[in-house]
Amino acid sequence: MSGEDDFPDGSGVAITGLGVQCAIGNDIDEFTDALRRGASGISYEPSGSPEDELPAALGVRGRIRRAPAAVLERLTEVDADVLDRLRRLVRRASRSKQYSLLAAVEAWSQAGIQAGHDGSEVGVLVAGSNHGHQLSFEMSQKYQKSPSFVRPSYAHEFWDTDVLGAASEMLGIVGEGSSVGGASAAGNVGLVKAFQLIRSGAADACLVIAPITELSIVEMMAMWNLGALGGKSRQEPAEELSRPFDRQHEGFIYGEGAAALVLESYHHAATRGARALARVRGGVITLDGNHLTTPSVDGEVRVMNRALRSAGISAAQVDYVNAHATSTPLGDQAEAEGLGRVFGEYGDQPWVNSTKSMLGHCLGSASALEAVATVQQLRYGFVHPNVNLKEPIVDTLRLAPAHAVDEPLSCAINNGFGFGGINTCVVLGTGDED
Amino acid sequence: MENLGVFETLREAIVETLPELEPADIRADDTLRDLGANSVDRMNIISETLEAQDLKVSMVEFGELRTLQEIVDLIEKKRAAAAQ
Repeated sequence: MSGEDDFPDGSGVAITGLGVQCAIGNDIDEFTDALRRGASGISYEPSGSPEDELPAALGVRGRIRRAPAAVLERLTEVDADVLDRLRRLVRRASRSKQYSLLAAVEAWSQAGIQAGHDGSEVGVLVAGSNHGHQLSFEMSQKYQKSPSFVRPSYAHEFWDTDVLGAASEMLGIVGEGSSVGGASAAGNVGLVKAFQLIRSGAADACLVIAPITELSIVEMMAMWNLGALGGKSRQEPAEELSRPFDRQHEGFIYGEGAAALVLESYHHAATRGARALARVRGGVITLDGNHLTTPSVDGEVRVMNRALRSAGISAAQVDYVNAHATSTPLGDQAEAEGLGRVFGEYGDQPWVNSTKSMLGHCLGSASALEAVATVQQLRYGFVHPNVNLKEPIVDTLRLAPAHAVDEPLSCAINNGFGFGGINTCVVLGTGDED
Repeated sequence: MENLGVFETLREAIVETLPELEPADIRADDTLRDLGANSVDRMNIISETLEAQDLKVSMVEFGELRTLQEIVDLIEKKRAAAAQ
């Protein structure tokens, strides 16, 4: 196993595998192409039956279009035994579990680690909690018909760690494993904890899986009743409704998405001849001292500054920000102000965009999907569009336009903020690809 | 599904859970374990059969049963009792 000696200052931890399942792509190449094109995955389909009289806005969502079975058919590079186990594990599972495992297998295959074969310690972290609200809702419906109709397998399926066990079984990973929460910042929480696990020497590599936060209509109604959802004044054209940093933003658009990343010590990656696609240079989680939903500019500034310090870099070195920016007026304004304070005189230097303008807000997995988007922009030297940005709420930031910009990037921050005053910031840098 | 016989309903639940099986391969003297169902699958199959038959029976009563015929017999008995 690795120790601190393997980490010269600033080298960080390597990212050697990426997997993604979301409204704009069912694999990393499709996702990256859609990011560059500025493709929106948001659509409108009425929710529930007419007699439910649900608000029309609940039908505006970022939907994964390809069925799990169709995604499985596309997995031509995956080991046959892993594929067999995957087929069995996704059978009749929740959408959250199905797409999480599909993302996990893509990331794992790209990393090419043979778990357990060389004595290395590999862990798994599930980033996010309460993935299975829809499953709970369905079981409640069965319960109402008769308590005896509740599906027995729900006893293991209702735990957040069900995905953890399935990934362990599918990939043969038997090191440390757990789930970590953090509301809408959970993806970044997973990355920070994996980074710490590897830096501590407790693992050589760690697979981070951020499942779909699969809301039922009950949680959607709570968000609506809170006033947090967008699509209030119109539902179509749906692709124009997630508009972070734009004056016409009016709430977040819920998106389905799962992501997976393999983090690995440089020493371990080098020993087996693997290259870093990118690196995690640092990352920090801080709290606001507030259990409610309001963002805190001070809290966001603090986490960004601390993350930069943890990575040993200055604000002047950052050339790209993947903002949390959910398209809610309060949240976008707070983050814009926070970025202005962190970057100060360099405020117009880093590009700033929000992947949510295309995917919607994927809640628990959002910052993991955005980490994958950040890695791809670092690798391929472009800044993806803010697809619906027409009238920016501020003119002090270098907000990406509605089209992609080709530009080499070397250092990025990825923000993730969650209800309950949870702030996260992960610092990412280029890897060692040619 | 309600107008199907209990054995047919059970067989559908088995194939739903274990799609690699052909309905014709499933016989009354098989056990769920023989057919490849793990411990959780077995309980799911019975629970789904009961739901399809709209029959409210405690799952505990199925604990000692082995063959599909024994499961069918217990469900038939409960259904007859419920109809009275």
